[in-house]
Amino acid sequence: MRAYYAVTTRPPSSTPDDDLALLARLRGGDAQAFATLVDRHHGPMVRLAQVFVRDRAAAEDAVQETWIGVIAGLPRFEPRARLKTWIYGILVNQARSRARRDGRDVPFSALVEADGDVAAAVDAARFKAGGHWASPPADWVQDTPESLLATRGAAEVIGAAIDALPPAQRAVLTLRDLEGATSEEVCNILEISEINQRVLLHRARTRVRAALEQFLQKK
Amino acid sequence: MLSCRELTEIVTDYAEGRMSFWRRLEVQFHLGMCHPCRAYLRQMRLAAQTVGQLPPEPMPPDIKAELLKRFAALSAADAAPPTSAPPETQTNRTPKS
Ligand SMILES: [Zn+2]
Repeated sequence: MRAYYAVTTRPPSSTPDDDLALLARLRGGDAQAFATLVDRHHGPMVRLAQVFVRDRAAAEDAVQETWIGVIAGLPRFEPRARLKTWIYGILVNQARSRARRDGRDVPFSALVEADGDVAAAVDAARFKAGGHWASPPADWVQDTPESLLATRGAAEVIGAAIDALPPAQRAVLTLRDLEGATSEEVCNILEISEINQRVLLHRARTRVRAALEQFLQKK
Repeated sequence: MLSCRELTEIVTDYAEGRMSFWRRLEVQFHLGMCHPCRAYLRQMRLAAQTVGQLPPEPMPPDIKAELLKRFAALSAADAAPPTSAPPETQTNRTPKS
């Protein structure tokens, strides 16, 4: 199988300095830096692994195996790719080989193809014949992430909306919005085209927004 | 003229800057005149940003402790001069414990 991190076309000079600094600390045996890194990525990593494997326990195993691989690979890692891209590339490999062992291997490209989400972004009934809003979105009182997350139940609604996404959308949203990866990084990690990445991101964000809208209306 | 319905299908292309110059102008023109679509775009952005600020889920302490042990062991072993490891190849991608 092709090495995911080798896909990147970034020249080494574009590797951010904080990546290099972190790498130096990790190679220097800085346990605190390692612990912080592990905690920061744990949530998104488990979510991404779950796209491939059968349950959360298997996903957590894949994440653990990934970190074991990261520890082993650190001395040889060449910072021509982002550290994050490298780690997530290992995770995808680990999750897929775990899935294979469990007899449920699905290549990501198949998940992308299976993403038959042709639903309109917004229900057609909310528009007039000419395509203008009949039932326009209400302004949200909570219009910052902080105020939204301070609303009781909002975080759970978002979490449930992410969990309910079709797998390919879930993978892209997890990497882009939960992990904060760039579209280029997501394309490298998942080996998908920029257009596929964008279509999946659009569908995923559309669904999360719709879930929030429904939640805020009921309040 | 771009309709509101069409706009809801292309907001992500707009947010991602993946749009021709003229299409972009069309979207901006529409947004300038249409309050509901401005609200819609704001909500899409807000949804994405809020996902990014969900409370973190730290790794269970027992698993983390075990990884830290491995990390410390490797760092100790690494203090010795490095052997001439071959350049990174795909065999590195599926390390086994
Ligand atoms: Zn409009």
